[in-house]
Amino acid sequence: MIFLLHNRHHDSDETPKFVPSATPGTNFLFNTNEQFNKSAIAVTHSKQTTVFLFNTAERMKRLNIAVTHSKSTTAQISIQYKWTHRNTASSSKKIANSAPGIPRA
Amino acid sequence: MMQDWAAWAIETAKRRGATYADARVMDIRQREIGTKNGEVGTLVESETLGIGVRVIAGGAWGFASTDRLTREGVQACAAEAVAIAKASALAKRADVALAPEQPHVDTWQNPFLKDPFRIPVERQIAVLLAADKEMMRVKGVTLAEGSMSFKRIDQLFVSSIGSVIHQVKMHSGAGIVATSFAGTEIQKRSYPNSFGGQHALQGYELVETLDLVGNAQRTAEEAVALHSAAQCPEGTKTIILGGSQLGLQIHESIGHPIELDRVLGQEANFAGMSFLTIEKLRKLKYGSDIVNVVADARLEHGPGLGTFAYDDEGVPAQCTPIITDGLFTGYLSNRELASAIGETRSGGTMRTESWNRLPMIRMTNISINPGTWSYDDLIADTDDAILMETNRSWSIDDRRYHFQFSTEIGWEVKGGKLGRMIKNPSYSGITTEFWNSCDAICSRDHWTLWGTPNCGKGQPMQTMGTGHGASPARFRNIKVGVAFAK
Repeated sequence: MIFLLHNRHHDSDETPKFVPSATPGTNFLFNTNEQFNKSAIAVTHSKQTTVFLFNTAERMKRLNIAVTHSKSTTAQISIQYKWTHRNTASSSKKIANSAPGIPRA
Repeated sequence: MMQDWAAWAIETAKRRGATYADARVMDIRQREIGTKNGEVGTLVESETLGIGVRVIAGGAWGFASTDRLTREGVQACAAEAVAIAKASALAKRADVALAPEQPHVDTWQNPFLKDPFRIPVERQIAVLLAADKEMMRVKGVTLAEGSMSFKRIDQLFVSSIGSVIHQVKMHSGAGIVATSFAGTEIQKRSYPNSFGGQHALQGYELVETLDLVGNAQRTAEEAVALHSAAQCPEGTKTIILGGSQLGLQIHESIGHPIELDRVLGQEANFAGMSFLTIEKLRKLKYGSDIVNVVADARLEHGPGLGTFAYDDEGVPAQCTPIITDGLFTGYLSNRELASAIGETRSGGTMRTESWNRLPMIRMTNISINPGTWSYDDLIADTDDAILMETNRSWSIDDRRYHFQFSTEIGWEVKGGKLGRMIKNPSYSGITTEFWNSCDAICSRDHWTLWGTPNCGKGQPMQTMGTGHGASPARFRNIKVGVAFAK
């Protein structure tokens, strides 16, 4: 056995469980995938209060000092995605999250 | 469907003899827009969907991935992962052992206001072209460029210990660049940062708050003005680094050296190993007493590119003290390597770029805590220095110890006041000497969580977004001007 078992640590041979939601009928803030409605995956928190440690409010200095993106968002919103899964071969093109040509840091 | 695919993978892996298995289903949608001199240069929208299966069998790791998302396709993928693990086990030095972790069942999405994929591309292009037009109005500007990038990562993680974690992360970024050619010299200014601008775990509201159009003219004027600015002197001086430059300084000289896989030699290909060997933990004086650095992936740290609820091993986001009052106190770890530094739990830093890549230890938000100085007081307290802003280039050795950076622009500080503009500013140093020379850090009013979307690591290389919170800071006795010395 590879695992370092301890209290409440699941045995690796245990079949993964899809735990039903503890509160059926909860109106979740996010519904990001229509197919997900049918799932029985538990949602343990549907609303999160966000308090950032630091105020990143913009300080627009004349000399471009610490010019930033400014306001942090503390509110969550509800967004409905109305797309459906297309069971066709998706591109195997490598996804990079920065524009082509930018060197890696 | 996502949970079906993951369940098929886990079941197959276990049936084939895996003692541990996890599966990541990732659906990644991406949009890249770039403009150049009044025209659209880049317009790419892509989506990729697949599953990666990681297993331990025979005491060794195996990994396989597929975008053939039928039951047969997923099961074949999981079987291949187990076969690879068993083959790897023939050459193992020791059995892989994972630090304990609780199973987690959760759903999480980062907060954002405006879905960038619901904003028409035409509107986004119009913003970039308007900024382009403002930059090109300035005489002497040769090249005006703008970019926006958006990424939505919808992923489900399932593991054989019972974790089922669904996360959705929205990344946005944007920036502009004005370049001026004159004679044999090229000068440029970027806003709000170089190499793609600012990036954060936010929606389109990030782009709106940047006000690219409103900052275009000033950005362009500075690019042109640099041609007639004084050359950065060569010598040893006090420097003040702007927040974004300090962010990259943190990335290269703190973030990479603390990656435990790099320290232990598991990862050396892309950028070498690390000078931070494990006997230095809690013994090395990394920086001066005012230097405090954390690795914080929690949402309360801010909407950084290193913010999440769970890493790609199903470990909850954490805040790890990396440098505490100048003392080196922590590494970035994972479930496999945590025990090497005496930890009983992973630091939760494993991330993968896509479904077809293995998770690796990656920087989360590696940030320097704000100090106490107001920016004005810092300048007023400085007799003779160069203020350096916005990264232009970076170079650091394969142990992350000797470095050299240049920035786009500099300003003289004389007698407590900002003076003339300086072109081609650069500085170099040794990591620990540099951080020990820090004697002032600006307060949280000047602190920004910068996004670095272009962190490269691994083979095959993976690109990952990291966050670096920083405010302007002062460093004494730094070698400057070497990069462009005649």
